[in-house]
Amino acid sequence: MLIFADHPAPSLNRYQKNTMRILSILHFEVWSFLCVLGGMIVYRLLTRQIDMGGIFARKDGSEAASPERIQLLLSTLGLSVQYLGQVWHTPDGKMPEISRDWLMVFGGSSGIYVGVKALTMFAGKGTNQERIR
Amino acid sequence: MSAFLMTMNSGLMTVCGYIVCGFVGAIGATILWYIWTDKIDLCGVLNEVNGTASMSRLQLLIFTFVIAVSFFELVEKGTMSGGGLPDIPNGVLTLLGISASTYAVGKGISYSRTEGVTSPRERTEALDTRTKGATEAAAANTNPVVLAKEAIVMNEPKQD
Repeated sequence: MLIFADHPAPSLNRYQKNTMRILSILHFEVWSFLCVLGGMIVYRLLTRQIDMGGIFARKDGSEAASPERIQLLLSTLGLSVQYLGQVWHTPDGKMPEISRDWLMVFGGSSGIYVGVKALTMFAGKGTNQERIR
Repeated sequence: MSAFLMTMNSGLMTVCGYIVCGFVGAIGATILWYIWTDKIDLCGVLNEVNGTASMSRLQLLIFTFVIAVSFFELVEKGTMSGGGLPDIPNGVLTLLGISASTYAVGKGISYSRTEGVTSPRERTEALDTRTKGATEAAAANTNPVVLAKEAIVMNEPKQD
C-alpha cells in the first residue's frame, strides 16, 4: 500500500480494499516504468550509446559551437525544472498553468534558434566550408 | 439475490483490475527488456538523417518525460482527492505548440538544404570524387596518346 499508507481507512469493505491494492500496484508499475526508462536513457547518454555528437554544432559544415542551441537547451531545462516544481507543490489534481513570462522566454528562445538556423542555411551566414571551396 | 449480484459484480471488477495490472506490467516489462537487449534500438533516437544529434529532438524527449511525469503525478493526486483526469491548461498547450512548431520549422529548413541531409564526411567524399573525376577527365582530354587513338577510331572506315 504505497499511496494510501498515510490515510488508513479501517472502515473500508473488501471491495474497496481490493481497489486500493490494484491502484497501488498500478502506481508502482507506472512509476517503475518511467524511472527505469529514464534511467536507461540517461545511462546510454552518459556511456555514449545514444550519440549526442554535434548537438551544439552548427550544421553548415563549420562544426562550430552554436550559442542559439545552448540557450535553447538552457531555457528548455529551466522551464522543465520550474514546471516539475509547480506540479510537485500542487495540492490537488489540477495541472498548474505556465506563466506568461515563461512562455515568452521560451517562445523567444525558440524563435532565436529557428531564426539563426534559417539565416545560416539560406543567407550563407557562418562559415560553410563547401561554399568557401 | 441483489446482494449476491453485487458481490459477483465487485468480484468481477476486482479480477478485471488485476488483469489490467498484469497486462500493463507485462507491456512495460517487455518494452524495457527489448530496449535493454537492443531489440528496440535507441542509439539513433536523437540523430538526424545526416548523423548528427538534433537539439529539437532532445527538447522533445525532455518535454515528453516532463509531461508524462507531471500528468501521472496529477492523476494520482486527483484520484486521492476524488477528482478525475486533470484538465490541460492553455499555457501547457501553447508550450507544446511552440516546441512542435520549432521542431517542424527546423526540419523544414534542414531538409531544404544539402547540409541538412548529408554528413560532413559524405559531403567531403562527394567533393573529392567530383574533383578526382574532373581531373582525370581533363588529363584524358589533353593526353596526346588518347587523342590520337580517338582520331584513329573516328577515321576508321565502317565495316558495313
